[in-house]
Amino acid sequence: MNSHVVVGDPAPTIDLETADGDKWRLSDHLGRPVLLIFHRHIH
Amino acid sequence: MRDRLGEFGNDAAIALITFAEADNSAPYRSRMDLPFPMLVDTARETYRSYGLERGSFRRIWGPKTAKRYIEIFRANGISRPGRPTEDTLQLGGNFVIDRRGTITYAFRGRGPDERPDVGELINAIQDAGP
Repeated sequence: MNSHVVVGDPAPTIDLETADGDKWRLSDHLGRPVLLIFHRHIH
Repeated sequence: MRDRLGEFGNDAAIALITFAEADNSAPYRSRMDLPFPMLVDTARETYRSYGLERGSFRRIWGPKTAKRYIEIFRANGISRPGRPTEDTLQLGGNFVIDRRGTITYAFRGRGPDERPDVGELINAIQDAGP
């Protein structure tokens, strides 16, 4: 089992591409509240 | 969620993360007309770093899931879904991060039927805003 990040922890880094090919980094959004929605599979 | 998007506040950043290949996610994006970016993480490294694991086959494909899918298909008018091509056991979740980069809300679903209420997410993002 992973050691889960919990409330109060620093958010793990995110550096991904969007489906449109743009870069999206969590660090670029410091100063704003962020909602991350991790999707399950797409059918 | 779309109907209540304004309640999240203009300042909030929202991102959907998927592990689906771009070819598979394109029809979903088109159908849903997402008003926020879809991030692609086919390696699922981000899923792992946020502690989102794979569920058990019995839990994922049990009666609660069947009930949930019936509700979704009724609501969306989808009578015959396509066959899943991705790992159907991968679990999802929701996280809110405050302005300083600290996690202030974490929800990890144990199955497809477990999702937070939109109002709960709105409260979480509003609490993270100050």
